[in-house]
Amino acid sequence: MDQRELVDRARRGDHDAFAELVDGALRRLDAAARLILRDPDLAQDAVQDGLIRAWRDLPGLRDPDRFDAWLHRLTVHACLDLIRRRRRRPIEVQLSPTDSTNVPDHSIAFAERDRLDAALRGLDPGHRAVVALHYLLGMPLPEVAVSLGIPYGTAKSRLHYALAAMRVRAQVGAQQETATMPGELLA
Amino acid sequence: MSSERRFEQELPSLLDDMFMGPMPAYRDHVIQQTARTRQRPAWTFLERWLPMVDVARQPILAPRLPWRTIGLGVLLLALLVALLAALVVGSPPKLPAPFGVARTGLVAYASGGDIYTVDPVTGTGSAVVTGPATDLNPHWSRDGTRIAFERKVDGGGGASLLFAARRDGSDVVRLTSEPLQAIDDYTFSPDGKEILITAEVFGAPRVFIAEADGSGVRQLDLGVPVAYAAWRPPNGTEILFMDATDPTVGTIYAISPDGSNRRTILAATPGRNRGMVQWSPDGSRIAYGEWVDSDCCNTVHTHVMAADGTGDRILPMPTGAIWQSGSLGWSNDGTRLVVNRGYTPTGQDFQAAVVPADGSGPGVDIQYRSANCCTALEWAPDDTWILGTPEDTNGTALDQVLLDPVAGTTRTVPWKTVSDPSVQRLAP
Repeated sequence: MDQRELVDRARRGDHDAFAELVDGALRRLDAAARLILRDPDLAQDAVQDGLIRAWRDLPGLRDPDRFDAWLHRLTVHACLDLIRRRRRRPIEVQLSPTDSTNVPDHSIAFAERDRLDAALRGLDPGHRAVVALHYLLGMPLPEVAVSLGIPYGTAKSRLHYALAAMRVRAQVGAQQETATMPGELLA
Repeated sequence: MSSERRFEQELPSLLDDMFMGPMPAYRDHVIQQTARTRQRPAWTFLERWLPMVDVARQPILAPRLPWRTIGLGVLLLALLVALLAALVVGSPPKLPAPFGVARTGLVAYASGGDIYTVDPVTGTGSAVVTGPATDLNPHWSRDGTRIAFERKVDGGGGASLLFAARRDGSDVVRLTSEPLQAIDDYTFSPDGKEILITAEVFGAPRVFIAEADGSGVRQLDLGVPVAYAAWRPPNGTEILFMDATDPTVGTIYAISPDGSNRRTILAATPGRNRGMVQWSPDGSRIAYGEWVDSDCCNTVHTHVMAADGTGDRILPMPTGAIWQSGSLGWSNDGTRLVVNRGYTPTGQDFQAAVVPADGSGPGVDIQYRSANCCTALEWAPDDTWILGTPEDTNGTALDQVLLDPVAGTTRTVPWKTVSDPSVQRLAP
């Protein structure tokens, strides 16, 4: 059964169909929520909020082909709502264990992961939401803008800023790492 | 491929590597929760009736209301209103321009050696400068905030010191360090920072400029005895004066306040004499009286000329009038002059008259019950009346009167004073 049919059935109240849709999207939604929120517990709350709302409002979705985008949007908004409600509470990062099957490029070092993670931590949630929607959930940038309710130019500049911050952090970290290599010190 | 481009291309897999994990443990919990949640009926969604899919695919469509901006705007507006309110409440009262029509305020006068102010409408007054000293001749500043006055020096043989005070009599400042003999006149500069004084030094009238804050006095060395010294309206860039040297009396000059740039406006005419020289309120014209030296009192006429001395004309008199003095005061709108006018050849009996400054007619005679009206005259800042001091045939000052410049009537004021009138100017 393809996704379109599942969506159509879920819209008509078929909860099993909805469960199948959840199974297909949950890992990615959870990843996006953790990227934005930097907290697995909060991410869980946000994903649950998003999915409950998705189930409740699914009959209102006119085009089943828009289900993924719609679900991503609901989840990201749930993340941002959660941040707004919990601004006073600091959010700490806790990376999930890496699934080795999802690491095709062995050149990616753990150090690079840490630097990227630190760079993401330095961004505000609005910037991280753009990164999550675009790079993690594969949403085109114009759609990211619509999903977040921001002008396209704003989405573009947020993405540009986030990329620059991550790149600089990665490069600086790499240079420091290189400079402290024994060979460099002896040269 | 640049490192930037490579980084961007690798980013999705980097993020996948960092954040994609196994199926979250809360999957079952979510499924249970959603199973317990009822779906909304389709008809309750507005999107069912609107083409929301097409709308959602447009990157930029009906923009959301910028609530943050609106809120900020409202906040800024509220702050602006509060600021304006604070400025209105906390700002000093608006001041009148130094010349031109203004609102009429209080009359300042001297009585019994003290300075008083009185409301000319209600007659309600109060003492503003009191004490054992003899104070007299109060003069308002052009903005109506301060009063300058003379204080007689004990045993000084008529010498006086000049002082200034706020309108309520507070902040009394001594303006002259040494007593001046026979102070003839003193007027605040248009900006209120200086006071032009005409006083006698060794029997000859000289001009001084005192700082209104009491910080100093300087003599303006004009080289001749001086009469009718006055700041040029509207900003005091020149000082008008007349050479009072006998027998060349009558040359009218203007000079910068620092003593430079003297210019002759009107040269003396042999055998003739001049007096009562006054700037118009806008500084564009000068009114004066001129007479035959040998017959001062029956030959005087009112003249008006431009500030450069051109366009001199004699203002007409009504049938039967023999003489008409120089200006005793321009109306604040610059259209009329108050003068004294005589119908007898003796030169002793006179009455005030209000004449058009452009010479278009003989104007209005002021009817006064008896004797002479008036020796000192000052227009109300709103030009609705003229305050004058009548005198009897012996030259003794009588109760002041308000002259109606249109109807030509008079009424006696409820206060008694021996000093010249001075009326406060207020912002319209």
